[in-house]
Amino acid sequence: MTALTTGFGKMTCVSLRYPTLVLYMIGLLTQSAAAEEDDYISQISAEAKKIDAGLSTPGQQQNQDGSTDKSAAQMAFEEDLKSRYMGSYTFYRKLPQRAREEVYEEYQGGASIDEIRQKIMNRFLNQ
Amino acid sequence: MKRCVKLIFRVLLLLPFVAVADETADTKQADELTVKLSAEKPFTYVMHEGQSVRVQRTQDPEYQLNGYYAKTARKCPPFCLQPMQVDPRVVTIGEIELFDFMEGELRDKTGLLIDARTAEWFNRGTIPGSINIPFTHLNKPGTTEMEKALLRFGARPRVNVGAISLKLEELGLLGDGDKTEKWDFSNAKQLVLWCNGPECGQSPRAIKGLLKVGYPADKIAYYRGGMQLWQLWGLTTVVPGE
Repeated sequence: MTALTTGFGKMTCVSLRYPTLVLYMIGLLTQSAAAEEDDYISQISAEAKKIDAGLSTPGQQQNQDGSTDKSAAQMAFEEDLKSRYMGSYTFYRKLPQRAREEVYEEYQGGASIDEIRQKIMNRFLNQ
Repeated sequence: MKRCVKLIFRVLLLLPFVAVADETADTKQADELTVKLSAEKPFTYVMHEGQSVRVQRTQDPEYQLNGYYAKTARKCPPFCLQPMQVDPRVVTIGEIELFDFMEGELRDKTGLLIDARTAEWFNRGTIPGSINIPFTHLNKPGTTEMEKALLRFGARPRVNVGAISLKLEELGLLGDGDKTEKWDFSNAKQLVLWCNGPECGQSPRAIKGLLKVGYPADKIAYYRGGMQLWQLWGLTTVVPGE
């Protein structure tokens, strides 16, 4: 293949003879980069949905906006806490949603009520 | 009128006592913390969406990371471990440096903490003090989003810059070297960018995009630990809008 020297440096005969081919190849490369990025973004988006799945406790359902409905079991837990330990329940209500879910998860995991009350206080004091 | 003046006078007299009381309460709380941010720093405050948020570690001795960020294996690619340095010119920082940044540049408004993740991640929780500028706005030079972001970062657009001036700037004979043909970064803010952690490529992409438009590398820092390590240490997070 012979090489020609132009004002833009060395260009091969192929690139001079077939500018359309070169442009097509550049186009292909750009398209593939864009497709790669789109693919990355869609995978990030799919991964983001796993956050809610990871935080949800069994029995909870996700709404379209990503929030979760409380399960009947969690409501029962809250009712129980309210009737037996009004003080702890008051602090529990003041916790952010995520902390409340964590407390409930602990409860589900078999923690004693004393441990739950302690956790509520910890979370409340350190939020 | 006299009553009003008296009332103001009383309030002014009381103010120092209120301040002292607040300080005493803070000191008491600081003493009570067993898990501090560092040996010298029990907690710090940062402004988030106009409100002061206390950043501290969880005091629960049984705390264990659970949920999404406890996961340590994700499909690679695309969620591959990132190198310690995005670029040899950009510094990588850890939590302690980030706390210092929060108390320094962020408080002085000479710096910005950037959550470079897409909005759907940001909306599920972020590091207090962060603003959301998704990497998709920062990795394509010349787009409107990129320009908006650069303006927000304190860069100024340049117009009709002469070829001689440009050459002199390039040679370092004119200006402070923080200028390109299109942008003047002399007053640009110090940025700390972060995303989901060591397996996240969102902030590295944003940083590379910023470098491509000429944002000074010494005004960019990369917090590689991101949300995963932030949560691992039980640090305060906030949900935007709550």
